[in-house]
Amino acid sequence: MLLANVMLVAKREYLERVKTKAFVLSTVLIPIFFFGFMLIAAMLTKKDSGAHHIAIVSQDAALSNLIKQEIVTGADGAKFKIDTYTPSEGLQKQLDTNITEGKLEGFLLIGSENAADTSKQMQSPGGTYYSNSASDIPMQQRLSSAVRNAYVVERMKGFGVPEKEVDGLMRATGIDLQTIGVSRKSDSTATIFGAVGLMLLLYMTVLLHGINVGRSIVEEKTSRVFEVMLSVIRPDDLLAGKILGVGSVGLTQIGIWLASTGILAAFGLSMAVGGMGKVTDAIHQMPLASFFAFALCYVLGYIYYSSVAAMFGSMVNSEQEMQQMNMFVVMPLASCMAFLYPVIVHPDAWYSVALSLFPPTAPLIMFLRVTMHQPPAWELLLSLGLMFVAIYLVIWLASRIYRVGILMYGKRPNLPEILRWIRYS
Amino acid sequence: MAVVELKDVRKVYDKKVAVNKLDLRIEAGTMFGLLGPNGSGKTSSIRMMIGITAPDSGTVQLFGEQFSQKQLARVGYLPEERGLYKKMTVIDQLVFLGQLRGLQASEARKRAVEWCERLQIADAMQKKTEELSKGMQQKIQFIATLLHQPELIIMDEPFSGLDPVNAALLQDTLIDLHKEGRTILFSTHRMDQVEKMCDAISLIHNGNLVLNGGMRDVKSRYPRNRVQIQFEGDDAFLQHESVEKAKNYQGLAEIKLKPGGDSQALLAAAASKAIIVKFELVEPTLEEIFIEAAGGKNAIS
Repeated sequence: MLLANVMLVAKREYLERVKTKAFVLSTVLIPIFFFGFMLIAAMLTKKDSGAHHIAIVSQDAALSNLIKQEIVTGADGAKFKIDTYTPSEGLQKQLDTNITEGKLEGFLLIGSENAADTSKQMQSPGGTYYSNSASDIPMQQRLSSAVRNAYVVERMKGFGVPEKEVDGLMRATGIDLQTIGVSRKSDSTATIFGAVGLMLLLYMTVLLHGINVGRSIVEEKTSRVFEVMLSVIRPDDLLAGKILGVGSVGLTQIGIWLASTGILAAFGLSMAVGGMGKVTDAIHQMPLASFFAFALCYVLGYIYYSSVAAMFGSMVNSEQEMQQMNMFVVMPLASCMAFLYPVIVHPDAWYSVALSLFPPTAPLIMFLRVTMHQPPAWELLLSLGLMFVAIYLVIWLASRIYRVGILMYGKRPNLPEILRWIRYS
Repeated sequence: MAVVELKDVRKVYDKKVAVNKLDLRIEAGTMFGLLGPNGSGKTSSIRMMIGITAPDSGTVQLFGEQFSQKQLARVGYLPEERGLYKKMTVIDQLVFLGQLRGLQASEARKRAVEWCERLQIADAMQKKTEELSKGMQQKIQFIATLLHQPELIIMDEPFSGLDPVNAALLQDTLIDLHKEGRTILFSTHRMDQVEKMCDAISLIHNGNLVLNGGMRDVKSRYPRNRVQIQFEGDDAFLQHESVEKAKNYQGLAEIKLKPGGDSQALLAAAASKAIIVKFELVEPTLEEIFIEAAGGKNAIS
């Protein structure tokens, strides 16, 4: 391997890419999409739009009022308009019509059967919420806690506990989650925001630049430049230079993003752009080790996937054929996104560990685990070790297939032919 | 000294034999023509000479040594399938290729400018390759092959796709380089170019070497069995016993003699009945030699 040639190729690839409009656009657009997406998601989960109009139907008017109070105190900024009813002939039908006509969001029917049964008098009466949305989980949680609280208050008052004391007992005492071994000052929401944000960024950069290496090979193949190149430089040097050059483009891009969020945060500008502050703050609260992990995961993930893309790039003859092959890069990466939620919730479950050891998913999933929760050292070392072995194998394969494949035109090779190429070189 | 020497080289792609038991020797300072129709194995042979592919069997020597990567610094290769980086400017591209061949950037730039002026494309130096015509791109690649002043220049079909003016310009450049003492190998399927320019030739057909040697030597191996007679009067001599085939174009007869046919007897016979304006024994053209050699080889196999 001739280092000077590798560097020359890398420099050419790097400069050619950095000078393009596509680079400028992706550098600007990826964070915009990414922050926009996070922002919208955050807004959708945080804030409900407009006031909720619901009804409570109960035999016990006092309980209805207590529930109403509880809903309003626990509303967390959401607005409520609540009507209370006692059950009567045709009421339920009337309320149903109101819901279908959109005048009402839903109504809560408090169970009455328990009231008569003395053995069950200490139990919360429970209830049923009727609405036209089957998946309104926040509302369901909000109502059940309100009913529970209201019932407890009613009972306590029934036992003669002074009202002041009841209030004191019932005052919500929230629990702050604190992650051990990751960051002392950050709160847990910030950790999740930051980790997910950076993982998305990792996903996009690894995917984008990995695929670019494949495309660049196909480009040289279709323009037949490599014939000239191969008479000057060894194929391994050409491939190494390409991977290095394109990869540095990604590093440059990541550097620009991190620097600009840093600058934004330093001037407090991110706050001015509203919700964006939440995400940038979250990222800034992350410990430096997370950024080191980010860079490492990018480099490893990128080398792995760019070599995979290089392998397929040298087998095909056109951009169109390459598109089909890209699925081998996209699928494992996209599957990481599917596991995002389970891994966040259970970073130490067996599947989280397995995914963070399996080389194709390791760069993304291990990064997520590292930022969420410190995995044991042996897992980190094993994951790194497996990744190095996988990278070595893929590069070995890719360079062999590349050496023969780039000289082949015409029909796409079948598997036996590819195996022959590997033996041949 | 042989600059290139292939011994018993064989190359098979899948089931197709691209090159079969090829022996080839190119002496230093020769202008060597590698001839053959499309698909005959020229490009495969060249690729093995410079290590782009390895032969299945046989040996390849460059500059009297076993092939190794570092010898490529002494070789300039213009492939048949030409390509340049579309988005790069001409000058950047030339400097890049020069650097890959071990030149300093400044030296590569200086030489690139000189060559662009010599080949009349100085105006195009700052343009991106994708803006240039095919002929222009070919000239740029031609320059890229020569920037590092290689001792051995290998060009695969260097004149294909060029207009006559530019083809002549590149031919003259090659002739100049030959005079400077460089060894030049070029492949072509156009025999007339080889006939004009080369000292030595090899003819390849279906992966087999059918003819090899110095130009004069090759030609002298084929008898002068063609006769042109310009005449006035009786054309009865066309039926002479030495004649195998004859065409008469209004007083100009083109005659192919039978093997062992006597041209002087034919002349005597013609002169006895007609007035001879001109009589010429014609050397066979390379094209005719090729057709004969390739046909013979085919007949054997």
